[in-house]
Amino acid sequence: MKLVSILNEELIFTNVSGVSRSGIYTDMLKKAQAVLDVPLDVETIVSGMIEREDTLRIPYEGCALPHLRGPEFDDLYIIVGILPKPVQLKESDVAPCSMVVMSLVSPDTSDLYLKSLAAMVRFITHPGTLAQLSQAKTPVEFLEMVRESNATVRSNLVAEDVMVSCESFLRENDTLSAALDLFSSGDNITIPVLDSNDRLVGEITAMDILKSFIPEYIFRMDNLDFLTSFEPFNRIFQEENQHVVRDYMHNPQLTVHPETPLIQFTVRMVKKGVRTCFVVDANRKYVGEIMVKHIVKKVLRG
Amino acid sequence: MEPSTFIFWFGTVVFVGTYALIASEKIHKTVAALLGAVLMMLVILPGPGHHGGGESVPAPVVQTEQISPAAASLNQLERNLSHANSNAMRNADRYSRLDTFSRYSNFDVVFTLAGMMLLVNLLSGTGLFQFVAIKCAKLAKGLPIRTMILLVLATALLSAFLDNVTTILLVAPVTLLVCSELGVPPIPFLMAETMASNIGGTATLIGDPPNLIIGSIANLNFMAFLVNLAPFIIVLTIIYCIILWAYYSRRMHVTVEKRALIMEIDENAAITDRGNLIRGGIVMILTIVGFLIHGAVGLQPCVVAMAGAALALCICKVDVDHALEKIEWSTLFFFMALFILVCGAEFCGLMEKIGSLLNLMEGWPVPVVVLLIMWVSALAAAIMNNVSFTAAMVTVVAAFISGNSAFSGSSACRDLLWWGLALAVCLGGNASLVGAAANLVTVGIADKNGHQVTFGQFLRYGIPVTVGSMMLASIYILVRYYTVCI
Repeated sequence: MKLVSILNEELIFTNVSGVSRSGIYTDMLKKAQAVLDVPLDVETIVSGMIEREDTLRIPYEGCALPHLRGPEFDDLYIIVGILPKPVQLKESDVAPCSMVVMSLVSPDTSDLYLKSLAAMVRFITHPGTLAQLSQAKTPVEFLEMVRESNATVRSNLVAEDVMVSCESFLRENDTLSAALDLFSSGDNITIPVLDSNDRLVGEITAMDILKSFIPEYIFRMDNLDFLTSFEPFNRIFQEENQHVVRDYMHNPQLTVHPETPLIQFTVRMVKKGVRTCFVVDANRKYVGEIMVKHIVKKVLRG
Repeated sequence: MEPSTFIFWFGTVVFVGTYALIASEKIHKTVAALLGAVLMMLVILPGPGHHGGGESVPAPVVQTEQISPAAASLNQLERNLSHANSNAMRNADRYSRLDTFSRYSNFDVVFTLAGMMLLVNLLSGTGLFQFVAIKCAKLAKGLPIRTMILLVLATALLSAFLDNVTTILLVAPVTLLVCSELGVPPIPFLMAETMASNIGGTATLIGDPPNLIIGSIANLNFMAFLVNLAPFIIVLTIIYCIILWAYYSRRMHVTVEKRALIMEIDENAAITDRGNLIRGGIVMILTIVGFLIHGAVGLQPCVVAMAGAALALCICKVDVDHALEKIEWSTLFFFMALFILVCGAEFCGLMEKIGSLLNLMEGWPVPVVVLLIMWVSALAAAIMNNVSFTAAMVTVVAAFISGNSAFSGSSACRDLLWWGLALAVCLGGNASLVGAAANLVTVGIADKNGHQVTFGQFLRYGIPVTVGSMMLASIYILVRYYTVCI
């Protein structure tokens, strides 16, 4: 199915007004209400969307993707708004937004919503696409751009739709100190280890590092309640610059390709108890990572 | 080639090859034993619906019922004979329908081990053994030599009632912790404990697997082991501790500060499940009582062990599946395969040939025969692992006893040989790294914690202990001979 087929010309607005998130969303919904047959409680929908965005803390980067699911909607409505000039919608946003793609999702259309959202994200993350779309003067011009791109809505979600491109990675010869810095600065629990050609050669977890500094015999004891003063971590401070990541990494527990369907990698992750899996291309070049929280955020709360 | 010649050589090659594979540790010992056992079953050992290459195995000797003297009349005698014969036929028929594993595996040994493994796993989950080890260090007030001696005594005592490997697995981690806190090298402690576990295990039927095998073949019960071996083992352990004291007391010193660290460890916090400790403890005591009386009431050790395990699983609040998973299945399969392998060697005539070597000692003085068998057995146990050696040796010794008038005619001499063999294989296991399973486990734990013990280093600890303990054991056997057998 083509992405353009599920977009409604009447729900694309190139003259959205407002300088805040609430104002922009309200304006788009009021404009949509004039077109749609279904009555919309604009205030409630806007507050619901904002509450959801704040709860999930999804940072936007150039394009906002608010949505709300509810029984009051009888179908999937995708409302596109192009802002006259970029607006910083939330403090946490990576960049001001010049376009808003709002979705109102009925209970029956959750699946289609996820697929169309994935298609939209794939489409607008193409270099230059978002800037081009933001310049559209009319809905027809906007739709023409989408049509020309031949963007499609896939029949299923794949790894590429759920993954995030992670900037944090380590090289085999990096020191433990560098690894510990990365762990402490981000919320990653597993960091990919790449070779000089950006191929995935392993993964390292903070647990790997901690475990290597705890004597093996400690793990042989079922109960450590009696152990209060034993302190093996001084060694880490003393030796973190002398050891390299290569000696502490292990083979990636799970790697998938960008085209791997959602159900496949989700089941594999659950089955193996893996919290992070890495996405690699045919040459094992690192593409991105999928954490359990990404599945929850993008699929269940996307 | 005659079929019987082929069978002999095939069985010999399989038997020797498997033992060589086990000793070399090139592949997992259980896999090696299973391969050997399967080859024996495929080619040599007959089973139901399969007659192998040899003649069929006769049914085990069926004890005919004792005819009461009161049954004086001929009719009564005939009725008794007829009843005994029908029982014998029924038993023979049942035996013929047994599957191959049941025929050739010694399930008395296997189930005794399994039952004790279950019981010990339940108890270890309560923190009891960590408590004991920490208590030893605290009773010693952190003084290294005292700590070593108390840990050695605790290990020897625990090993008398638990499997040696299990004892080491429970005591070694706490030992490493204590040594780390005291800042003393852990290897002397670990070596001393390993030797103590092999020595302590010699005291009882269930303390060391070779004893279980000997007890099962020689029909010696728990009480017999306790009465005949435990007193000597107590003396040996005391002498061992004195030697440790003399050797190490001036070689280890720790500061007051480090000793204080040990005194701050709260041993009571090691107990995680008081309820299960009490319930499991009661079951363990009942099981030991069961072992003490099993000979008198005519129960096999495996029935006692499995009864204890079943009772513990019933009254202790544990996840039964998890408890069963923790059984060392690899060890049990190793034993099962080993018994089949030995049966194969027996069936092909290899054991008879080896036994004929022992027949060269026909007419020799009993003490010389016993001591010679003891020292050769100790050496062989050290080279090829005491369990593997014992599994084969008991068959040879049993055949030798039945064919040698000095031993078959005197139960005291016969038992003396069994006690000598038990002492030799258990104490001989101390000599080398591969001599006993506990040795390998200790060295493995030490290695994983950055303390490597090479084969040669182990010999430096093992040979003096083995030679010393074997000399004392020889004296004990001689004393017994001149006081009991003559």
